[in-house]
Formats: sequence, C-alpha cells, structure tokens
Amino acid sequence: MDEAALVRRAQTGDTLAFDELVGLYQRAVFGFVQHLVGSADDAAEVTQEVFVRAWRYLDRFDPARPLKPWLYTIAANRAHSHRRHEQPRETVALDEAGPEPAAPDNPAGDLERHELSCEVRAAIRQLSAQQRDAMVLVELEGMTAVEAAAVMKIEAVTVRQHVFRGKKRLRELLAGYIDGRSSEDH
Amino acid sequence: MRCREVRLWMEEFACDGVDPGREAAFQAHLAACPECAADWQAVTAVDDLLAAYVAPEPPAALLNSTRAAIREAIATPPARAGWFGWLLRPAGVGVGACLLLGVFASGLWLRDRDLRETAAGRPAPTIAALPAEPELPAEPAPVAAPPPEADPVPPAAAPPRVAAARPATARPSTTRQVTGRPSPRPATSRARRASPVRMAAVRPAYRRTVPRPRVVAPPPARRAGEPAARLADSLVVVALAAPRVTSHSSSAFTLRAAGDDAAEPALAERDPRPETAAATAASPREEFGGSGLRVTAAVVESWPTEVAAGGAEAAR
Repeated sequence: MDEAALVRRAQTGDTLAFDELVGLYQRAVFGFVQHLVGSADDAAEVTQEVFVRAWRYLDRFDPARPLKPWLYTIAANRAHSHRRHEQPRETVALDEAGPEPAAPDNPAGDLERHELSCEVRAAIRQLSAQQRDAMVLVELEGMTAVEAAAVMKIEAVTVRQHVFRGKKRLRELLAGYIDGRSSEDH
Repeated sequence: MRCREVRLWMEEFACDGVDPGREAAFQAHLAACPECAADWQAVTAVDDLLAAYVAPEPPAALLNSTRAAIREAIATPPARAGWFGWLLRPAGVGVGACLLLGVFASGLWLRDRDLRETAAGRPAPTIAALPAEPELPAEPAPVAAPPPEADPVPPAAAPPRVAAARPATARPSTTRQVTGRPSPRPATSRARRASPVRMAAVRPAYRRTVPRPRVVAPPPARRAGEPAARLADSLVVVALAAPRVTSHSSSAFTLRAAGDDAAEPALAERDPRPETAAATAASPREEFGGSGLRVTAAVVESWPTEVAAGGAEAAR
C-alpha cells in the first residue's frame, strides 16, 4: 500500500496504518533528530514525541503531499525545542547510538565506516544550527534544496549557501581525518 | 567569468551536483583560479566522506515504545489545547468578559470623572479659573469670589496682558480647587499665577486627548444683564471644548470652541436636540481677545444640566 493510502487510513483513525508509517520513517526521523540533539537517548525521546504529535495533528496533513518533509518539520521543531529546554550534557556522545551492524564478511571495513560516521557526526554538531540542518537534510537525508527549504522555512538559495559553507567548514573540522586518509592512500 | 559568479555556481553544485551544461566553463575557471579550485576541492573532499557515512540505527525498543506512546496519546486527549482552546472554555470566556468589562468601565469612569465631581456639589473648578472681568454696571449679581482680603493682588502684579481687565479683587487659583490640596504658595504668588487661565483646572476633560496646554486669554466682557453664572458656563465650554484644540504652542494655544464655525456642525451632530441647533445658529459669538477662543453662550446652555448647575453654583 502506498504512503498516501496509509495516511488516509490513519486519518480515519486506523492505528495499524499509522504503525506502518512509523515503521517506514522511524529510522530516518531518528537519524535526523540525533544530528540535531546529539544524544541517542534524547533522539529516541524526541522521535517518540514526533510521531505522537504527527498522530495528533494528522488530520491537518494533506495526503497528496509527501509525508517525510512534514515529519522532518515536526522533528526539527521538537529537536530545537528540546535543545532549548534541556541542559547540555557534559559527555560527548560519539558512540551513544552504538555501532552500526557489522557486515560479517568485512568487519574491518565496517569498523572504518563506523569510525568515519562518528567523526562526521561530531563535526556536524560543531556547525551552526542552520548549516547543520541544511547539511543533514540535503547531504545525509537526500532531500533537494527546495524540500529542505520547506522544512527549514527558508529560501532554497539560502539552503544552498548553508550547504556550501557547511561543507567548507566540515573540511576544516575533518582536515586531520581527510589528510590522514590521503596519506594512507598514497 | 568572475569568481563571484563561479561561487554562486559552486553553492548550487554543492547541493544539486554539477550542471553538465556549465561544467566546461566551470572547470576552465577552476583551472585558472587557485582560490576557487581550493574551495571546490574542499567541497568534493567532504562529499567523499559523506558518501561513506552510515546513519545511526535507532534503539531496538524505539519502535515499540513509540507505538505504545501513540496508544497512550489516543487514550488520553491533550490536557490543554493552547491559549485559544483555553479561551473557549467557560471559565476562559468568563475571565475574558470580566477583563473587557473592567477595561470598559474604567474608561467610562475616567471619561466622566469631572462631570461626576461637579454633579456631586463640588465647586466647579473652572469658574475660578477666569480672571476677573471688568465691572459692569448692569450686573449687580454677586459673583462667587473670596473676600478681597483673602487674596489681594495689586493690579501691577498681574501680567500686562490681563492687568487691564483685572479688578482689585482676584479670585483664587483654580488649580488648588481642583486638586483639593492646600496651596503652599503665598497669596500674592497664587494670584499672579491665576492671571492666565490655567488649563490644569480642566485637565480631566481633555488630558487623554491633547497635551497639556495653557490658555493665555482674558475672559469675555460680561454684557449688561448677563447673569454671573454665564461665566461659569463659558468656562465649562472651554473645558469641554478643549479636546477640540487644533493648534497650540508651549506658552499659549488656540482653541476652537463650540462657537467656532468649523466646530458648530460637529456640536450639532453630537447634541442633535432642536433647541441646541437653533440656539447655536442664532447665538452671538464672542472671542476671547486675541486668543482665537470663541464661545457661543447659547451652546453653553445646551450642555448637560449638572454642568451648568455646577457652574452656577460656583458662581454663586
């Protein structure tokens, strides 16, 4: 069943249909939120809030439109609200999400990817809020600049600027990692 | 091609990928411009890292806990629906109505405070605000004024403009009567200050509409046979017409009172009784010398009874 049909069923009060939608988008919402709030525990809490609010306000959603940007809009609002009201944690949660599932045939390569992902997550957290949101939505979640602009409620050209500057800043933050990899390659 | 244009291209390409139609020109510029080439190299280096990035896995229990939270949300509706929802509840409607009623009542109270004080029998503050008018032979009626010895002012103590019209007996300051506070100033100083008509005496009538002005104007000459209460009425007109101030300065201002041509239609609209309109049209007009303040006595008589009565009482 396609997404629009699931949304229409959920709008009539079908909780099973909404459960399917939760299963479809839970991972994406969690990944997006974790970039914004940092901690995996906080991200899980915010993700839960996102879907509860989505259920509560689902009747306002137009089923003809894609659900993912709408969920990301709720997630961005909840994550920023969470960051405002929560005390900053003292620990740097690089590994709070736990290691990504290792492929049994290439454990070394998977460990390297896990290390890389942790480095990238830590660097993304050091970006400004606008650059971080734009980078996560466009580069990690695969949205277009226009879709990300709708989520962030800014112009698409501004999203592009944030992505460009975010990438340049990430290059500076990950310079050690990138240069180390380059020297290993050579 | 300028670097500024290429930079815009780079912002676009960093998001959406390199446009094939512009790729040749873009690469040609990068080959010629080391600065832009460095910027673009930074972007592509990060792209390689992001391509290998793996999103974090959510905790295994998150799916079930989310579904449980949704079930709980269905079972328990939200405690409150924000401000609008709260306002729509009966208690919210009651509180809102009380607030509106309070604001409306306080506005009315402030607006009519001077009228209520006059109706309660207090001396009209405005009657004493008038400098004394010249003695008129045809006016034997007693004017409400303190004994001459209570506030003696030699004519020379008054400002030159009013000195000619000031008799030997001066009336007390109006400001003191309005506020009810005893005057800390000596009688001579008080009489000197009483020579201009101090609009502080009638402040309640206009202070919410115009800045506080001062009128430097002698009273109109009393005509033969005119009762003393007419003066009180005239000054009440000044008070009530004060919101009609059209121009003023720091030391003096011009009033356009009820007798003014421009103000007459507005007055007739405000008080549409036939006798008012007729009296307004037929009445003579007097101008307070040089001040531009003109008062129509017939209009005065159409003001509410308590105002006229208060003025007459004060005059007596």
